[in-house]
Amino acid sequence: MVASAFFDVIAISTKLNTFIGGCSSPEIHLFAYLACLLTLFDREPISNWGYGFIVTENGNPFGLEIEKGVNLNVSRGNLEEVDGLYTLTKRGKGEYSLLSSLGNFVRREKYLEGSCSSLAPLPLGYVRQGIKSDEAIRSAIKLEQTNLLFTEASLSIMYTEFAEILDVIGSKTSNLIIPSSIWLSHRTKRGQKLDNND
Amino acid sequence: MTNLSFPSLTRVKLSRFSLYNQQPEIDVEINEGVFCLAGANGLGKSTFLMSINFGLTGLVRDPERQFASVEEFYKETAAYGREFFTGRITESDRSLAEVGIDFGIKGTIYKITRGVFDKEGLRECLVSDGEKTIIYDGRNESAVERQSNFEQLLIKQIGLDTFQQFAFLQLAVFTFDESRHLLLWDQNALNQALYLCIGTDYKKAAKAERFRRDSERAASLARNYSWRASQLRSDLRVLLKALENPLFSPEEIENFETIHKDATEQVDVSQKVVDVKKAEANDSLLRWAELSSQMATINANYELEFSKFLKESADIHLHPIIRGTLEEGNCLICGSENENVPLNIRHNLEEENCPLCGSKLIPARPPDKALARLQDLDKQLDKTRNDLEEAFKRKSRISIELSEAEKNFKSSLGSLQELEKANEDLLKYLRIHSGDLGNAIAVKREAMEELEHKRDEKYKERDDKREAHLKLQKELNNEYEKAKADFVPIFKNLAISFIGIDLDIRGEFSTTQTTQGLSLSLEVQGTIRRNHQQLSESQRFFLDIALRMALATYASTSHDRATFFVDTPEGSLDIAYESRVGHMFAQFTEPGHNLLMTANINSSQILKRLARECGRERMTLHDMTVWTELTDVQKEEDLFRDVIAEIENEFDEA
Repeated sequence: MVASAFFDVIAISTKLNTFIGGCSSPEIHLFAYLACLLTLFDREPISNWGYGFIVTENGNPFGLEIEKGVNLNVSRGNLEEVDGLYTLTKRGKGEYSLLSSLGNFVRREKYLEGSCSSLAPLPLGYVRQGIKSDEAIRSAIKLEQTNLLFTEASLSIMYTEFAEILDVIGSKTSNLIIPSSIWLSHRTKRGQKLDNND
Repeated sequence: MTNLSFPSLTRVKLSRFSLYNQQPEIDVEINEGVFCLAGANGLGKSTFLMSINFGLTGLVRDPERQFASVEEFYKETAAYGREFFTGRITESDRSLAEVGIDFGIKGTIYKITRGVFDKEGLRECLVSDGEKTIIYDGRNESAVERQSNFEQLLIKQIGLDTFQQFAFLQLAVFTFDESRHLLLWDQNALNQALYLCIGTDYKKAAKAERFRRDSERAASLARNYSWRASQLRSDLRVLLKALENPLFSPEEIENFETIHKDATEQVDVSQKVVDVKKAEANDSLLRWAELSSQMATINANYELEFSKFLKESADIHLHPIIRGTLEEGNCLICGSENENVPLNIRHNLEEENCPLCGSKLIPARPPDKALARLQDLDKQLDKTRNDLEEAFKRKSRISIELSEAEKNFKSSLGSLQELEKANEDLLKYLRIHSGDLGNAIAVKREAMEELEHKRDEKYKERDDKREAHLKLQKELNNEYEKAKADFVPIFKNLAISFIGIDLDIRGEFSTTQTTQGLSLSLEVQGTIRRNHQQLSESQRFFLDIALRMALATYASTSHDRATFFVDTPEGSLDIAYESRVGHMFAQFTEPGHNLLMTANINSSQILKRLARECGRERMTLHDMTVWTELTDVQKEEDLFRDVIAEIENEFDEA
């Protein structure tokens, strides 16, 4: 299990607890995936994120390292699981605070924050739909197949979309809530259109 | 008649021939008369035939190579065998694959074995008188010695002068293989074939060929000297003209020289810039790679330290199973409910033992040291990351600059070339005038005269060799005139039995420079067919076979007759012609010659007619479909079985 995945789990749980209280495992995976996507705004290579994702048959992004991170955080007492929902414990808050001081993880905060804060303007269902409108994910759902994410074709489309958004809102930004929300909204509408055509 | 004694095969053994995957060890007896190996497409019929010739001579004929002379044929074909068998023999069988041939000649029995990929010579050579007397046993000799002794013995018994002549006859005259090379329309090869089969002095055959090749080489060299001399003559003309009339004024020359100098300097400068940028690009790439490697190392260390951090700060009390069991009073693993459950766990924890496996626990402690190490690695990561960004920016910048520099260089070079093209005459003029003109003229004149002298010598040599060659060709022509009374009827009988129309073959003696010597021309229904295109494909193939068979018949003694090899002769023949081919082949074997052929198992009349005319006494049909795995299409074996049964029936009709 990679260190960044451990941190991402605890960070996402902390942030999601603010918006929606306890969060499920699929939700942690979802927001970790969104955070990884947001690095494309800064033209960072996807490989720099530290771990990858696949899409399951029902269209959910899944990161093996995230799953390991969840289990380890639970066994350390940082997360408590009740009825399938994870909440941060006091120990977890302390550990998050400790790890947030490390520069390697501080760099990731921008994207994790941008990802989870998209719940401020948008409901969870909207966020989910926006992410699921990705071609690779739609294909996985349609064919009931597991697939790798971040193919060359889908990355190329995302780069173009992000560049267009940045053109509109201005150059490189330190706060990713706005571009993230715009992108998710655009994707959700596009996904609805494609669903209607199907 | 010529009296050559030819080998008569009795046995063929192929070992570790991976191509025949169902039966890689082949051991076949060859009886007198017709031996027909029948099979399907792609099973390796041609390989069988080639392997026999390879066993006898060490060669496989290269279908792409034109015939130049017997000696060159032998030398240049030597390496092709290994190329031919590669792919037909697997790597693991390569050193073991071998061809074994047993044959008799003049009562002497030869038993030879040749490694398929051996370069030096035979693996085995045993020669006996057929009874108990061993004439030669190469067991304790080297492969080279065995090969040499085999060649000498064989040539002496056959009656030829060199082993190369035997190899030529065997591969190029007495074998009609799938390359379908036509002897009748190959002047040089036919000439040698006539020498060896109809002429009587084999030393003269080799001599004649040498004269021909030497005269061709001399002519080629003479042409080369002539061309070079004419180039120099042309240069001299320019130089002499320049002496008489200066073409450009001093002002024109000075002006051009200035512009040309600037343009040349521009090219040099831009070239230097490109070189510098290339060096910088290499440096920046190296730096970037070095930093990337550093980054990877630090990241790996980070992961290691983070694992230590997690381990050091782990508190087993907080594990959900331990915590839950203590809180609820029943074991969350097995479900046991009694007061001892939490007591036992607490006891273990107090003793610092793991409640699950009993191992000694390392007490959780504040992970200060691990954190400190992580913070230190953080700083290294940050620094390296920044350095990487810098290195990447530098690399990108230099890449753009290099691109620009290359563009500039290309542009300045283009300008210089345009300038030179527009002032070509002036440049030439300057080059001529750049040295001592008189001296340049003298040197060129001397060189030209030297070349002309060499040219003349080579033409003389050519003429002398041609003269000598012509003399020997006249002798051959005389031999042919004596032989034709016997030879031509042999050919006509065979040819007409196939083609069924009036034809004739004539010797033609030419003294022209390009086609000197004896050749044969074919006359069909009163018209001479000088070009093979003037016959249909089937006609030219089988008339060529008839010619070869006629040569084999004429050249053989009555006791040791030649064996003719033909590979899958059926082609685009109609049913009537197929039958005639069968008749032609049967006619050839009737006086006692042998025919070793391969054929596809189909409803061709060739085999049926052969079987009917030869009968079981003079023909063996060997089915090779069991040697290799058939394709699904071919596996409809009933078809093959039916055809073989039909051919077998013809034996009974004989």
